Amino acid sequence: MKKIINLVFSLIVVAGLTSFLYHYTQQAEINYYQGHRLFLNGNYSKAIPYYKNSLKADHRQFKAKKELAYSYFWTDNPKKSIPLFEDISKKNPKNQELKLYLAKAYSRTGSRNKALSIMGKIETKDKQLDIKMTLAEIYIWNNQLTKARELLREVLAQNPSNNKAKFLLAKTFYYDQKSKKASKILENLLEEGKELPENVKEKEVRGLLAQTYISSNQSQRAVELYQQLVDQNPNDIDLKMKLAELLSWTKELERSEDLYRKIIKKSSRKREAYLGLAKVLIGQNRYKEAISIIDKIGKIKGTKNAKLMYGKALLYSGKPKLARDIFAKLLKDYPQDLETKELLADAYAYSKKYKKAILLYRKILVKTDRRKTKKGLAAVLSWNQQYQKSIKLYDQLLAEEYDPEVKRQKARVLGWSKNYQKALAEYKDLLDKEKSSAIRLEMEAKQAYWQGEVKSAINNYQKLLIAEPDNVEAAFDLSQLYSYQDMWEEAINQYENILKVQPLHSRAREGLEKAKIFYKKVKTRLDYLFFEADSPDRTTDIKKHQVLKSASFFIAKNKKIKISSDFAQRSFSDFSSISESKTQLEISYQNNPDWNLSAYYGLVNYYKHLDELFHLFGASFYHRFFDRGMFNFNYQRQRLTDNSQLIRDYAYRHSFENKIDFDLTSKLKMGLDCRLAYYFDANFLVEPGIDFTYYFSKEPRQFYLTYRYFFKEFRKESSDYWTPRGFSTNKLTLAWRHYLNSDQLFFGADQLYYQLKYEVSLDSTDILIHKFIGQFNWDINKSLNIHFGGSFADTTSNVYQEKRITAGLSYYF
Amino acid sequence: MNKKKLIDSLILFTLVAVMVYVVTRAVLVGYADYTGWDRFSAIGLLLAELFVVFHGVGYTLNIYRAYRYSGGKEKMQEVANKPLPEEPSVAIFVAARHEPKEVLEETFISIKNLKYKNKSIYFLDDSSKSTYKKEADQLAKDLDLKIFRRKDRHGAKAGIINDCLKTINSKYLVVFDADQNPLPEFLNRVVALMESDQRLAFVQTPQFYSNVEGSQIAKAAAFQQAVFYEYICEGKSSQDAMFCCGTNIIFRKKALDQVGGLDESTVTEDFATSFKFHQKGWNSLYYNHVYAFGMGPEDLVGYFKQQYRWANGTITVFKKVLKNLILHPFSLKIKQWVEYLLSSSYYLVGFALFGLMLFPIFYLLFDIPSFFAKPQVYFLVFLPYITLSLSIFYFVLKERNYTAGDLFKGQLAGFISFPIYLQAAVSSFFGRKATFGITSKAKGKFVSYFRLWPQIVLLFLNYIAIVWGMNRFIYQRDPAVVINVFWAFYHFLLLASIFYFNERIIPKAFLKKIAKERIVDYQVLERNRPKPELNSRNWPVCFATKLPDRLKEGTLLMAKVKSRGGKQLIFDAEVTWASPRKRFGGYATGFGVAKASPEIITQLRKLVKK
Repeated sequence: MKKIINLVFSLIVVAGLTSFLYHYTQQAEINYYQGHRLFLNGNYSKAIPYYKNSLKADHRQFKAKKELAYSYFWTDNPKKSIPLFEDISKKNPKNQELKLYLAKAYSRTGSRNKALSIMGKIETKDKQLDIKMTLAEIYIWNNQLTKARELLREVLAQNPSNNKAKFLLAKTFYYDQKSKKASKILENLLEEGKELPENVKEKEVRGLLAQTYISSNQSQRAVELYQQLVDQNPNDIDLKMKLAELLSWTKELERSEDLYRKIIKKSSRKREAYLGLAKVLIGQNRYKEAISIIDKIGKIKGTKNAKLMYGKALLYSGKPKLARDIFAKLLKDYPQDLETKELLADAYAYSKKYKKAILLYRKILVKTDRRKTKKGLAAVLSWNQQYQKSIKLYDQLLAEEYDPEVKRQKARVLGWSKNYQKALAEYKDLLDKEKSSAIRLEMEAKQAYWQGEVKSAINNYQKLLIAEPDNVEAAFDLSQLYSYQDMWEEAINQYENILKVQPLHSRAREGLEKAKIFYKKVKTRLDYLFFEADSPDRTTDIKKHQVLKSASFFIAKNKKIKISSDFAQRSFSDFSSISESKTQLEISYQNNPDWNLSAYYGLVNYYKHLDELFHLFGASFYHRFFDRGMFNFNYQRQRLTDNSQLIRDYAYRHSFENKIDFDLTSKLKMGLDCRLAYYFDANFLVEPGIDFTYYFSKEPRQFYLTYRYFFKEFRKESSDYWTPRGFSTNKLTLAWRHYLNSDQLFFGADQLYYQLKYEVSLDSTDILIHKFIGQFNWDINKSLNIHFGGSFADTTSNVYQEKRITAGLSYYF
Repeated sequence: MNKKKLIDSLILFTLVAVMVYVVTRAVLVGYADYTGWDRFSAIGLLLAELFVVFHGVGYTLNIYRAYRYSGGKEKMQEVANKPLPEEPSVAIFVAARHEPKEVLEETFISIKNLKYKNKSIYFLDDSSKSTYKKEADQLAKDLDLKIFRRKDRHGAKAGIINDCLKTINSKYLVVFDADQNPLPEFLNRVVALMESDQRLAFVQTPQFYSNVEGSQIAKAAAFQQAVFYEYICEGKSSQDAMFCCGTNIIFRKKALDQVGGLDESTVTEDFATSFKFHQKGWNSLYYNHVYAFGMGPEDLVGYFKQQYRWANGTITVFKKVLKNLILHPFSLKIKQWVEYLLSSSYYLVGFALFGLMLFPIFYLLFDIPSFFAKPQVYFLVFLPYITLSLSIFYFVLKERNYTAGDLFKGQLAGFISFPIYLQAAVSSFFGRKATFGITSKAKGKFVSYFRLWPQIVLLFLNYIAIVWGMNRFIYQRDPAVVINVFWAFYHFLLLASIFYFNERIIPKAFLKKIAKERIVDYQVLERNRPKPELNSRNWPVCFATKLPDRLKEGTLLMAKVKSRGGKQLIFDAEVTWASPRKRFGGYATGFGVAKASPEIITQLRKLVKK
């Protein structure tokens, strides 16, 4: 079994490496074939980037160059096709087709003489009909319409049923502004129901016919014809674009707008469609929409007002930095314009340049006493965590004029500054005045949120959002709650709702980004752990190096899979090292915030000396049975690894653990737990415990103390895992966690903190242990986190002295 | 339709399918737009395929002839069973060099037991070590054998037979290998056949391996032998092109004298001599009745050695056959030439197999399109060819109760021997009668995988090519890639059988661990004994445990082990394997139970099963 696992693993690794090598070395081929498939299906424009990549990897490829040249040519890029056709023609001088296309390409880019010279060379050798046709096409492109007509007539004399020649003839008439003649030929072609040649599509004929109708002022007929064409070819964007354009000419603006919007939804030619749409919107006096449409394709034009409008559009569509530039430029031209200044201040605030925004608001307030500006300043002060100043300003605003919205905002800011009692008083005061159920709900929701009562907070926020769907404050709090409860779909929806109402909400943006990463990407984690336990008395000291790898991802809403693979090397002082690998699969089902369930199965494979595999498995269940109480149960088949003998004997225990945690107040927590364990040697353990945690301060400078008492009672003593029959332990922990990103304490922000802990424990056998722990955690960006830490334990008696060092990173792919 | 007609039409269709396939392949290669390496490898592959097809057709025809020939067999049996009016004199030669006494003893006793009276038994002892010589003298004395030794060694077995041949005057000469055990009627039957036709130079009888249990390679070798003796030989005999196989054979002394004795220029003297007989106009006969049993190779080393010897010798004769075909084209009938060309060129199959394996890899990794300008056409002609050939092959074999699986095992063993065939062919071309280089190492005759590097390297290359090809197919969607991946995968599976055949004689799984605590006590009975032959069949129970001291392999000891019920089991055990290093507090040691009562063996088995 072990051999088979090793073999399968090796085969998978070799396959992985080979595949990697293939993809690394064969980019030219891979890209060529990806392009080739698109090419064969007629998706020339999509094929182009693949061919380019292919040639980037290997510029000598004939086939890729050839198909790229054709792709350029057929997607109206004849100029780019020329060097390619020239190059491959040189390598393949006998290929007449390449020369024909080279000539066509020259002709279409206006290099008439070159085209004709190439064609002349071909024609002297071969006077076939298709060469004449090609030459005629070149003449048409070169606007030598008479010459083209002569040639086409020659062709038609030889072969009167050549429909392609007829089509080209119609083209010459159309370009010669003889639209009626052209439409006659084309109508004739279509009416006769003749089979068109392969390289002339019916839509081309109809398209040209429609053009002739337009030229001859029969726009309505043209519209009808295009509508027919669009109905026949519902996926043809070109036709739709033509029809939309035609409709805008014929002043059917609503139909045109509708069509443009449909094109924008599906098409790759969004830019053109946006331009068309903007034109239509301008035609309907819908400037703001037009500007936002233009903004999407990055065009800035217009007067001061237009610019201001454009800047506002940018600002409110969530591009404060771009808006800032526009306002700053405008302020240079109009330095006294208060509206521009205020907008610039807003733009600074929304791009998190709070200090600049505050300065600018203050400058405006020197000259004017605008209430709007004051509100803006108060908001920015609160965002910048200058809560006292902000509240003062709100008080000033309220003294000037009572405004329930201002009062509500004041209450919120009080909450942000963690003055929960004052905030509550403010809400109550407001509620007395306004008697609004929405305000009551917000107050209750906030209260629950501050107390950590997740379920009722969620419930209240949900109700509030039904009453006030645009309440961004509530929506944000709710989305944060969802995020911290791993309710990703709900969180994502909520963030998106916020951004619909307030596209500038940067925290919601960050929250959304992070929630999407957490929910949709694969989390990978790589950690290294070094552990050393050294004892003057015991003979079996341990040294362990461990590499832990894991990947976890959601397979569906609520269902998560985690695959982990660890490698560990343990050295014991009584004999040499044992190497092992552990592979584990964990499946969890989350029904947050109420309950979740998970189960895992793992295999430990020892590399030498031990032939059999060790099976690990377990399951856990978590239930929040009321808002301040959580119940946890888990069962595990655990491996005993205290010493080598236990590993050799495949020693294990079945451990059943129950724990109940209560949040007594927002600062004090209590936990009760009990573990029952059955050992491989028929030993039995009962381990009850109790703990209390008190938070002196919370984020960003979190400081807490935990006291824990537990008791271990074994059925018998065991020298294998050195246990007396029973003992009790008192343990005290002091912990300090400091967030260095103090202004960014919300889900979605990149966290940076360190943590220091000191633990002291004393047990009934008089062993006193001091343990020092340090940790550092840094989210470099939303996807990448690094963390490292270490601990050191010193004891008064001759049992283990431990050292532990960890370092790792996690990344979302 | 009766079975015979079905076979006839199958054969006809197969031959047509083969022709169509060969012609199409050749035409495709001819018309393909190949340049340089492409053309080289395409032609190389075509030649390899032609070789396989040529031999495949010959093989199929022989099998078919054997099938059709079954009527003649009854007639032959009638002649063989006929009692002889008088028994002409027969000399029986058993040549041996450094063979264990027990093996020889068994052989000579069975020869002594032959019912035929007028026989003299010659022990051709070619040993150079005095211990073996002494043993031979003792054996000759005990069993009343005529011992023959020579002064100058030349020509190995053929040499000593030729030397002894000069000293005898019997009408017939019978040759047995040292491990052959003939049945009592053997001589009566073969002498009767010789007496019935004065133009017969020799009558060859089959040999079957008796040691097929316990070793996969022994089984595979036995199946190969079975196909050879059951079908090929009968087919060849029907074309009067049966060659002698060195043992279980009776020669007419007159014929041997006429060709100057056995040919000493090759290691397959028997095959070379047959060719001489046929050239001189003598006939040969294959009498398909098992009258002797022998020992086949038990491990890869033995098998490779045997295959190397046969390949080297046969290819040496191939050179002679070609030379004679050019210089004396009328010395044999056409059908005999065909059979000799088939037989003597067979071992060039190493080149063909190597090529067949290499070209799909070339295609997948380097895009050298040796295969199929047009994959669709290829499939169109390949499928009927392969389906028909395989169905005829297996259909006929099934008639004699062989299963496809048995025969496939034989084919697998042949396939993984391709480097041996290549090496033997190259040595033979350079006129060397070299022997095969692998020697057995410590633990039984398990061959280190480093020494099997050609197979392992190709296995690895095939695997890489498969993965590479699958990646290619994702982007290219080219059926030619699939075809080549299919072949690479097929070769990969065939090559993987090296792990199946290269067994540890006491496989690790066989050594079940028992806890250290189970061993209550042990006492060394005898140290410094030779290493035991590590053969799982010799040990009723084997187990492994850890001991505080290092015991040498071969040490005999008396052990006390605690049974599951707590009872003490006492038995003699021999150390079959011991770890040189102390790990986890002891030396891992493997035991074979040497002597114990059946009851204890049952108890021990239970212990080991846990």
